Amino acid sequence: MIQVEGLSKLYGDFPAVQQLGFSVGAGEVLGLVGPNGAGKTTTLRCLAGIIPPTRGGIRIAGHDLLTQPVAAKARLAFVPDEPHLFEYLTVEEHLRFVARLYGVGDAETRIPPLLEELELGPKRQALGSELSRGMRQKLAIGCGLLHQPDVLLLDEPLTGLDPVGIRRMKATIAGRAAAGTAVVLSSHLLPLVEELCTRVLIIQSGRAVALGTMDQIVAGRPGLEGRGLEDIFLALTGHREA
Amino acid sequence: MSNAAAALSYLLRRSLVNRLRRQVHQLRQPRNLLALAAGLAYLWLVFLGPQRASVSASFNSWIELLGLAMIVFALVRWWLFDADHAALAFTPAEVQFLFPAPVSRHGLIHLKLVRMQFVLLLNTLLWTVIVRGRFSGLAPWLRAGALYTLFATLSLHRLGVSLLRASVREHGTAGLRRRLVPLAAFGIAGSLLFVGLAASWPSLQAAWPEGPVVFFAAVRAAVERPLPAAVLLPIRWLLRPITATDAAVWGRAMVPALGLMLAHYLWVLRSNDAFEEASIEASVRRANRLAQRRRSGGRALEGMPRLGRFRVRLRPSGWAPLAIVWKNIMSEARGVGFPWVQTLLLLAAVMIIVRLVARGTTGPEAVGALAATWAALLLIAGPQWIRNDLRRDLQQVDVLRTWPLAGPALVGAEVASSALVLTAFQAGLLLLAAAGFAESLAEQYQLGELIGGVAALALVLPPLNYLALAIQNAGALLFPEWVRFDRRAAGVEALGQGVLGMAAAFLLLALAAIGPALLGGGAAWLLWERVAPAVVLPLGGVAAAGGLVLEAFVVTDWLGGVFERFDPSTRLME
Repeated sequence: MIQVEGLSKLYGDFPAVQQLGFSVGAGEVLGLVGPNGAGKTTTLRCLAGIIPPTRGGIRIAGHDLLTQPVAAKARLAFVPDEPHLFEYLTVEEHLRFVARLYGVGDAETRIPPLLEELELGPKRQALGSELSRGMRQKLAIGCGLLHQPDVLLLDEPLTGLDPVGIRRMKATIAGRAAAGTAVVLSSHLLPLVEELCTRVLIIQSGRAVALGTMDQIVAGRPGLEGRGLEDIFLALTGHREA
Repeated sequence: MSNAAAALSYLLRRSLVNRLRRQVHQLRQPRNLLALAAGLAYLWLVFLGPQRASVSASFNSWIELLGLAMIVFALVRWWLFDADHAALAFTPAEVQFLFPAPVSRHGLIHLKLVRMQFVLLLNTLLWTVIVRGRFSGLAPWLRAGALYTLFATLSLHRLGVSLLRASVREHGTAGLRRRLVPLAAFGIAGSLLFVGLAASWPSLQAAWPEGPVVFFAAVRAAVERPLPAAVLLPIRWLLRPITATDAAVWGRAMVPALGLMLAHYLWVLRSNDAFEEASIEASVRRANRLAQRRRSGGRALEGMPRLGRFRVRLRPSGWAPLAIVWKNIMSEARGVGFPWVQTLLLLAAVMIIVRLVARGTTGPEAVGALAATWAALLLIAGPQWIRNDLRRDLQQVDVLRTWPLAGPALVGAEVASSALVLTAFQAGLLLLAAAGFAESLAEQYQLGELIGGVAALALVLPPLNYLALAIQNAGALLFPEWVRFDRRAAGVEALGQGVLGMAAAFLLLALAAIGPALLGGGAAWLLWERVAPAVVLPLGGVAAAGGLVLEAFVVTDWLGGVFERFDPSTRLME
């Protein structure tokens, strides 16, 4: 579903992402982890078509993101770490707006269960500006899920959610992956990544440090056998605590 | 110097240095340097251009009377209506760092006073330049001293009133008792002024029908009666140094003015009751207002957005770009509440009243002329004023970039949102203008000619407005750094950006209109002798509109490409 080859992004002379290459298949959940400033968000923004890569290619569900952006974007959803809502639209209107943009003909039947799933039913007539941080995050996720994308890009999706919301969100992500969605999940919450992701991509200074399942990553690194993702992360990013 | 004072001094110093350094750094880019040059040229033209002649002594007395009235009005607002919340407001960072820190209330008040100096000095400079040449015989720096004393005393008074009100709110009767002296002073002064002016009521009534000159002379006589004159004396102390004609008069006038400023400073320093809660409330209110202004693309909003009764349901399926138009119209309705509709209704009400009351006069034509002038001015000012398009949505460019829409479709929908609103407003104004001139239009033109003219306008206005707005949106896409999203436009550079933007937009629109105007005019000229005017005008309109639509199509296609290549990570970070 997602194929990335030689992805590089430069801000002026500063290389934010360098020569990244990976693929994510249907039903896979790829965890994208790295220290602050490693290039995680830049990678996700490139994958979502928000910023153009300086070099390299990205294919989403078979469509080249650079040459067929509309077809590619129709198949993906991006949920940023800071939800950006339209403060003058209600919760329900946000979903109807997204439905129109993505051509979701059966939105009338999809919206009520989605609102229930995200516990936004009682807030359906609230304006975006009236929602709490957690509610805004839920609505942003709901807008991303409405058109049932083939590719789901999540940047710190649990920020601002309460414990019940976190549990539901984890179930939602796992459920979407089980239904065949390719998910890329960027997070500093390593236990979450370990719990949900089938593979992990660790990046540092814009470069891939490790890519694969936990077993594949520790293979050939004897000192890391039996360790959790946190230890592996610290070791691979050169921290002494490891 | 205590730790707190040293820290506050450090904060102010570093903030100023970093601000200046940032502005100098921005000047390395030629476009910012150009903007600065344009801003300076504009200021020179406005303030330092050809010297204006000095004015007569009687005019000065009118100015003094006007100043007196404005200050009294401001004082009444501050004391009675708590109208100025900003006086106590700190920035969110100041609230977060300083309120829990071991900084005394005196320290906080002094920080506020030092912060005020920037605005006071700027106002002083501005007004010194504005009034230069108005009052002869006084050096500009002396005039600046007088103006600074006036502004500083008023600012201290405003801060003092805000602290007093905060104290009363937080401590109830105890706060009231603590502030009894200033409260009593204001109450007594207000009552005496009211009684003194009330005694002049009959003479004011008698002067009203005699015209403005006689009436204002009566007002001046009223405020110069012993009782009002005594109450207003402190305000006159502040105004006299400004209108002084030589250094000796200025020196004598400054003594009581400086005394009054010192008294206010001491009053504010003594007002060290708990004010934090009121201050935080004011700070939050100001932060919300600024955030709303940013979100609304620079337009000031009152209060939070309201859901209201205006609802149009969007069908989930159909032409996708229409969703953007719908979103922007909803935003307009719930954010600023269609002020142009209210304006039209108000004008319509005035028109009806004038028609009923002043039948047979030129009243309706005056209202019609006002509406027509406004409609014409909107051709230039409308695209700057109505900004419910990319200029607002670029703040959420990350969201926009993920939408599965081709660039031209997205840009077209954004521009069309504002064009719709602008055209509807102009159409309403033109309708009112036609109502105002109904009789004379009916006398001079036949019905067919009128219908033809209306049809030509209806054809030309929408694409012309679209093109004007597309130029504005092109500016936002090509120079996003000049569209202020995250901070208030301030400084000479921002002024220059505005001047350059307006000039460029006007020039481009004029250039774009030449071709269609020639097409429309040419078609009308060719057909004028052969076809009736009722047909020629719409045909000319069709030709002109065709040219405009073609240009709009080309511009939208090009802008769509610019949007698709737009890299927010580099353009908006500069």
